[in-house]
Amino acid sequence: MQSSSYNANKNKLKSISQYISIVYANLFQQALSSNELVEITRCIESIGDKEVAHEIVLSNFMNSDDVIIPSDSLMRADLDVFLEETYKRFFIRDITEAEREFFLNFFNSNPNVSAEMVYMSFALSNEYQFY
Amino acid sequence: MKRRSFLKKSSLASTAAISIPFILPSGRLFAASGMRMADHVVLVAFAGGVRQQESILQRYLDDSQSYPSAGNILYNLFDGSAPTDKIVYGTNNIINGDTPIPKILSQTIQNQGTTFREVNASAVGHYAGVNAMLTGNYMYTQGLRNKPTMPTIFEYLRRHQGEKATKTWFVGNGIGNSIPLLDYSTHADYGASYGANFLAPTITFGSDGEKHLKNAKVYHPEDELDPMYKMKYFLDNVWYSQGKALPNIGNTEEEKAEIKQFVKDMFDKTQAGTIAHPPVSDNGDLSTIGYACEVMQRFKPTLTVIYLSNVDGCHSNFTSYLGSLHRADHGVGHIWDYIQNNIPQMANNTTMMVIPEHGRNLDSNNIEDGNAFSGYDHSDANSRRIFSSIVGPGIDSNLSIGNENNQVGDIVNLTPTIAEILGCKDDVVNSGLVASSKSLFDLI
Repeated sequence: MQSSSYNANKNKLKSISQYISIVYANLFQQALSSNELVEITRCIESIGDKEVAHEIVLSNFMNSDDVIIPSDSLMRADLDVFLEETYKRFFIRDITEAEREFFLNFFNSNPNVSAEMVYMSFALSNEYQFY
Repeated sequence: MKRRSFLKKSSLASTAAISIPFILPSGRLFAASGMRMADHVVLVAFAGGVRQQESILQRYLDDSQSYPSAGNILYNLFDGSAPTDKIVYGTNNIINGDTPIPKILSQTIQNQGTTFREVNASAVGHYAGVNAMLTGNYMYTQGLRNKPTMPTIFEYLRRHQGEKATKTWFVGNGIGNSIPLLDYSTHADYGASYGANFLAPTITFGSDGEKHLKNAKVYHPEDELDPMYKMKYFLDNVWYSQGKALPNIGNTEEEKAEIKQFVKDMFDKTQAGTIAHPPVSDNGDLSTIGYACEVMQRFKPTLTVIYLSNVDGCHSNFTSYLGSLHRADHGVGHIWDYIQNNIPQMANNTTMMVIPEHGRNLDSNNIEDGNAFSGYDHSDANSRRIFSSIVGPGIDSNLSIGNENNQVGDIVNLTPTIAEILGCKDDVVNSGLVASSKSLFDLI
């Protein structure tokens, strides 16, 4: 897979357990235990609207002290680098110039947007559901 | 007959209604196809495999274990005296199961409504049975772990009646037997965007949910969620230009917020011990029913399907099967009582249907439980025998249809029945996707 190609040729939907394993690794920089993987997968299966289920599980992650997210000041210090790293981290591809322009404008007009909110939006996005 | 007079009135009204199109919430131009008998339907899938002998035929141990004790252990559903000898199905007092659960309803569902005493259910697997119940089709070629290939009643309702996603709920006791797959089909003309909201509360609010869902952050709707969603929608728009679409049941942002708030509130109520559980709530079915009552209280769904399954223990533990049957009846009594007394918007405006997805064998297997009672599987002709109870506005009271020697009705009549109650039977039948154009009412 070429990380620089548009959408990086992703065409397979992640299973619930693949999605959870990968998002956990992205947010905590470590692997999820197999027990927790089974438990979280069951939780997601128990709620029909997967967008709602994912949002609840991810926001539960965000309440953990162990989640690794850049500070907001670090994010604002160099938005270009933050965006490039976020695209690589979640989408495994380079950001396009159109995407960069959208986000830079968005950050400028929404000064209270935090790194956590950006990470949530990437983790909940449809592209992130595919590999 | 009440339904006949209803049909007479509705045919007069439909003459006017058909000519007056209106715009549905979904934005679709729509002409009303029929009047509703009630605005809400609650379908209790009395599932897990229920033998006629211990349920509607009231033979208790007399038929199954060659022990001379007969009687009715479903006394919220049916008229009839309870057994007096060898009581094993109640709560524990001196010995296990010796104390029957007190009756909830002053009048049985049989007395208040119509009972189809002998109905055919040709699919004798749990998933296939509930699938037939919800799609009005026997999908013999469909395997487990696949979504239904024919539309579910949820999809018919949402497409033809313009119901919002939060107006159709499927509440299941667990996520086994592929049950979560029944919220919508893969049919090209229907599918995910017309699906129901599924919930398996014993998991969502059980130990797994306590650990991984309860501590969820509640983001501020304007300051946090709004920009978060704007970024997500941008990313999704970029993706749609190149990538594949994801199945989405179409809850609006407001509906999603309502569901998240509901989940949060249920954790609080669970902790406070104030969930609307039945008076006795000592198994998964009854716990599920408590949360289903909360769903109805919060969302006032047009269609709520509640899937019970604890009686499936009958394969290896007949005593537990009897206890689960008795509890399922207790749960049904509680649902009806709760709707009538605690949800004013649904009281006197709800039809409840109770039906197993299939029966159980005539002959036992070789597995004995602690009482030396033999278990029963589901594979023979006796497994195709079920009952169905219906109660609500316009439904004849104390009417009994069919008997052991006269089978009337089939499980595939259920989808047209729900559609008829909710005023979209013509749409469902005209889709050409149901096995029978007849509702149970048509068979009376």
